[in-house]
Amino acid sequence: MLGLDHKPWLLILTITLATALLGCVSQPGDPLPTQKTTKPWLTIEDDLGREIIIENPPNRIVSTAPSNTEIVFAVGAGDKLVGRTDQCDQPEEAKKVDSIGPYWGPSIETIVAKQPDVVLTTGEETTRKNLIEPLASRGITVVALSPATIDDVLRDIEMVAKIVGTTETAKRVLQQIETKRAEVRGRVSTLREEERKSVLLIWWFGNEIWTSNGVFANNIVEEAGGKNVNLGFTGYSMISKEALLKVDPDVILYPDDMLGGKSFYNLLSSDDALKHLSAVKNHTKKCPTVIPIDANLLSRPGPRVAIALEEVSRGLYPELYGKSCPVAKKIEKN
Amino acid sequence: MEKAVRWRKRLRKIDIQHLKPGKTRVIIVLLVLLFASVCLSLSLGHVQISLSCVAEAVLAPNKASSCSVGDLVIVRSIRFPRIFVAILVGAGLSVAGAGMQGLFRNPMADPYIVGISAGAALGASIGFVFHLHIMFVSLVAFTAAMCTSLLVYSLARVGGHVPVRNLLLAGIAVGYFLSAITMLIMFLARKEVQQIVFWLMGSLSTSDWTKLQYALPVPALGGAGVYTHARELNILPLGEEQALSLGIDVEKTKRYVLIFSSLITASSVAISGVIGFIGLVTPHMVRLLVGPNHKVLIPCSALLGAVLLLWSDTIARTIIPPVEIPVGVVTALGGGPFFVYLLRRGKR
Repeated sequence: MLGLDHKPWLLILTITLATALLGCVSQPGDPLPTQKTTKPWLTIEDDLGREIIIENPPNRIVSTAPSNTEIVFAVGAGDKLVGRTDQCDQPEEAKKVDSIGPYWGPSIETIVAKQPDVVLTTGEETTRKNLIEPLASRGITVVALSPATIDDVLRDIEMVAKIVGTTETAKRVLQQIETKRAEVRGRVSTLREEERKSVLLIWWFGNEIWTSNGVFANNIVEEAGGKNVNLGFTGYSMISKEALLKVDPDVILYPDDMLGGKSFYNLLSSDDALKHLSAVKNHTKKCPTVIPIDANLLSRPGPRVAIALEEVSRGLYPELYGKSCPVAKKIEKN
Repeated sequence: MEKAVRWRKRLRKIDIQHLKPGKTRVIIVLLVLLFASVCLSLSLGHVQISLSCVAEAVLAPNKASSCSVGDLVIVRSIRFPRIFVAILVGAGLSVAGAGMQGLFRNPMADPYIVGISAGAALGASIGFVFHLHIMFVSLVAFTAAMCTSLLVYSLARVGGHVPVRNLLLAGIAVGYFLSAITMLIMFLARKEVQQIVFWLMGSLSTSDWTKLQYALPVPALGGAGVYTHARELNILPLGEEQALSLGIDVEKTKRYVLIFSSLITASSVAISGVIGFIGLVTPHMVRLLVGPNHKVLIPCSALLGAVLLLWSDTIARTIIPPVEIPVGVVTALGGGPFFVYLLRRGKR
């Protein structure tokens, strides 16, 4: 500070230089060659409500999320995919496509170098800031997919199909999903209201316990016949052990990769407090109530949504799928 | 020589003074306060539990009761062990803080001053990255913290001496270095970054009886160790030469106080993550109450530290249910302004 007091001109010079430099780096008014007069091929509104103009049918697609990659392959445009993330492992062919970095932080440079016609991203706030805006400012067409329900997923599959021009293939895919969905719905509809089980999704169990409410996976639970316990928030949040004991769900679902393949039931039943949970007490090997679900199915809003729906429903109500399990009674809690 | 005799007389006087009735009263008040805090904390939480149910849960384990099973479980298996851990860690950090402040003759010294928190954080990060069980994460953190402390001690050593200034600077340098490695790990292991960050903020939420059982002996030993050096800590402020002439082995004192304080701090960090400010502020508060004699300062710090951390944790787990905020946030939010107040007061 002292040095600057003596030489105010130095400070002024530094600031001027810095401003000038900044000015050079970011020129906000960069004119983009968008003022073509020819009619664009397609205009759509993406999940963030942005109006997207797609000039020509895209030949080069980059996906920045595993669910998007699955959708692209499902609608039969896998051969047009030129970039995917490290985590995009489904379907098997996806692994042959070049990676643009990890899902949580793909490299913008690599994406740009792929010269994509369309980039399919997710819609979170961080993605918008770190990915969508920088790409859009470079004149790249970005479409954000941010489905929160099964219906949203179906709509997004349709939208991607429209963009790549394979609406016929998509129709078949959607038909298959709807058939399976209807089958699950048929089975679950026989349940009386009091037979529906309360369900808690636990995403992480360690120093903190993470759970969710109102996200895509919760929608699957709801449609699979379960009742999400209400903890008074939407989105992902931590909860205390006390809160867990208070809501005392009938069934606990967790992603199967959560404990590196170890049984969550074993962990819970060795906990002094949590072994008193109904879901832990009622758990048996044949009819489990602490149930692992394929992590990718649960967290990827993609074309395998119907499979996820069936797996969850089968876990919640094995008796509806031909297993002889006692219809679990809630243990009396005074 | 004459001077030495005079000092010795004065010291004996301090020894006798430390059990003046006024100071005993402070200890009794703190004990009562701690007991009341425990009772209240047991009944407060996401689920409100009446004091009679709390009493039943704690005192009459086998009686058929009117309280719900869930409430009894919450009191016995969640809140009770957690409260014990809060007391243990709060008392431990405060005693370690008092020890470090006495050792460094510096009011800014706290239990983490020799880079223990940075070492523990690195250890814990490595544990998280390798997906170790929480128990082993604690063990790795503890080991790393102790190694850091010993490293700093040996770096600060010049010949047979360990000048306090060197210790301070070596602590800062090593701390920054280890923090940089931790940051690198956090940057590269994005999947685990959240766990590491939460751990760094300090939390008592995983406390249970087993953890307490394993954790109890180390801080207890450390606390006793620091207390046995209370007399030496009283004399150190006179200057090292003065202390030497009074027949005190200054280097030995430094070594032992550092080791015992490190043992307490390392085990506390391993149990509950990095909880700041308790170890810094409590000894200062106690000094205002009972004066600088370490024979009183250390036990009173333990009691007040226990009460303060217990309340901080009670606030942390009740303020926005069903979420528990990290207790380190609460202690820093409360402790920061209070420390500024102390500094301003001291200036006047």
